[in-house]
Amino acid sequence: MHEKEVIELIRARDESGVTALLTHFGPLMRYVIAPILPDAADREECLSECCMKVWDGIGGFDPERGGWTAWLTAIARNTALNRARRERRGHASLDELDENTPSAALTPEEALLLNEQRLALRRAIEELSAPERNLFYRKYYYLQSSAQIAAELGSTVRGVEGRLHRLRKKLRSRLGGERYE
Amino acid sequence: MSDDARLDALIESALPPEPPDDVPSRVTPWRRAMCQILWGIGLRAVTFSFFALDYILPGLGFLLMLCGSRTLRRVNACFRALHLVTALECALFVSALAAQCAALSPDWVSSAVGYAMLPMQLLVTLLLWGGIRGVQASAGLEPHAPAAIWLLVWYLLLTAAGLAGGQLGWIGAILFLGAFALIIRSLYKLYSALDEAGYAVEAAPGRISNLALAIGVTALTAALMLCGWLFLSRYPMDWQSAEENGESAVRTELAELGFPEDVLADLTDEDAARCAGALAVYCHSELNPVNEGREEITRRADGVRVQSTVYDVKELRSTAVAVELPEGRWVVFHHFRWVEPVSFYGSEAIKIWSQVMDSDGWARVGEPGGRVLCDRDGGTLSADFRFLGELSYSYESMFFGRQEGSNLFAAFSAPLRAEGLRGYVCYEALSLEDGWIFDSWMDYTHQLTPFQLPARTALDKATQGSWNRDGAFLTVQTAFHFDPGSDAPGEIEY
Repeated sequence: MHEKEVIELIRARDESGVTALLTHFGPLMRYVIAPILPDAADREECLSECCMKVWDGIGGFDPERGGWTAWLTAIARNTALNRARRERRGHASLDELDENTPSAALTPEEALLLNEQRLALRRAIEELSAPERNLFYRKYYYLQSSAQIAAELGSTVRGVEGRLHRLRKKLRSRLGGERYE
Repeated sequence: MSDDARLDALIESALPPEPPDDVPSRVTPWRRAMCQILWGIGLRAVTFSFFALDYILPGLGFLLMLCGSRTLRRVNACFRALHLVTALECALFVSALAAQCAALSPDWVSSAVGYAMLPMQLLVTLLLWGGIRGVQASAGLEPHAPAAIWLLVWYLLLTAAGLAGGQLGWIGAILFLGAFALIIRSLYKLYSALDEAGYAVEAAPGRISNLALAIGVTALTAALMLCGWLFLSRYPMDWQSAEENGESAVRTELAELGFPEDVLADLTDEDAARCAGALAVYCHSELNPVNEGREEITRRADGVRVQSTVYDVKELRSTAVAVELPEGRWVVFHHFRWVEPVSFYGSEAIKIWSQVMDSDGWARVGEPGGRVLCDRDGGTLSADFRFLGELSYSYESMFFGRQEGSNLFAAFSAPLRAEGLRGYVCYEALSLEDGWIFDSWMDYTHQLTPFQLPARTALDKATQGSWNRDGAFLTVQTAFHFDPGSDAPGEIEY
């Protein structure tokens, strides 16, 4: 089934659209979720949550702004990340927060500097070669382990880590700030 | 916070909400591996017979298939079998390539490997079909990969067209090209067969990277090829110290009749004894270049530019001697001597062809004789030819189509840096009728380089009508002809 048909079914609020979504795009969503959520039961719950989000948020999908796969992987990744964070917060709440923990709020100057650095980093990412950019997204967007990347790219863990090290060095030098030199 | 942690935090906060459109299609567990397998299948089907592409492209194809199937080997039983079959094919291909570099390996080795690989090619397609369907089924999708079956059909058609191409002529060529185009189309369709289900694939880790694997296999192949060229393309020769010459009376008699002394010194006693009772000696000697020379353009007096080949070095001295004996018997010697230092790779061959073997006026009688000699550490070594005798053969002539012949051939290998390499072939002839001109030709085929694919011996080339520069070989010719009725004995000048 073509993605357009799945989108049309979901837009028409036809519940078979969710089944089609799971059948045709379930493997993709599972692939995105797996590196973020190690627990199999968590992954299945997350997948259901993703389907709900697609069902609820289909109105926000605009093919003019980006592709269906990119949108779907963004939903799967964000849902899995939120779930992982909730999980972590759940564990953290059991511990007492230290009264001396400093506030994380930034001063206006720090916020401005951070914003500039973000823009510079985005430009640096755009300037990467296609293989470097794909490696970057695998590691930092899809949060894949070096072992998974190595297996999928026909490399070794050491080889992938070497490439990532060179990539970070390149990004640091392109950011140019003293802190990253 | 450390610099690394700061950079990580910055990266996390700078990531876009959605990845760029081209990224999700490239971040997959199977696409790279499938791409390698399909490119591999495509490349191994290519048969361009120039610049060694008929070896390089399939070799590259096998490597790609090996790398791709390695990544998918834990997906299901079909992909596991695909990897094993591909590894076996790769090993067979490397063996076949090594065998093709060994000029002395029997032809059936390469043929047997080629025939063994034919069903494997079809098996690979079947396993790919099963593997894709297995992935689709395990992902809950309806198994569907008709392009793989079509690929199998086109392969069968391609094989049939290839086997029958010679008989079918242009229809075979059209079938061949058509089948190849359809293979490319099927491969293109197969590329998207795992678009949805492929994400369920779990790539298998490897101890070494694909690059290291490819370099390792290539290095092993190169080493085996080198072994074939250097060690399995030379005839084993039984070099022994040459004995002192006997038959001094016959030798003296021949020398007095004008038999060239350097040739006489190389004859075995047995061959010298064939000439007992000699009446006359006819001979002809010439120096031939066994190199391609250099092109030189000169201007004639009338202003016309003339391009010619200039040989600065002439390495091979050829001497032909015919000894007339009583009762119309003759003994003919074709002697060669390398007078400049050259390297001897693989093998050398001599072809003797003459009216004596192909006319009513002459007949060749008895067994041919001869030997090769070279100098080492102040002494002289000699050996019998590895092959000496008559061979019937057929070959395709550019001008006269299919030709058949039966001539005298000799083949040998020389030490790589042999000094003063020389030798001769002799045969006996009988004059059946007066009035016939005598002629006898020697084609000497020298191997210029050890690197040739497929590797052939000089004898193979000599029996294929090889002429001048042909692959790794260069053939030079010496003609010897005279009229026994009118030409005076002694040196024959042309």
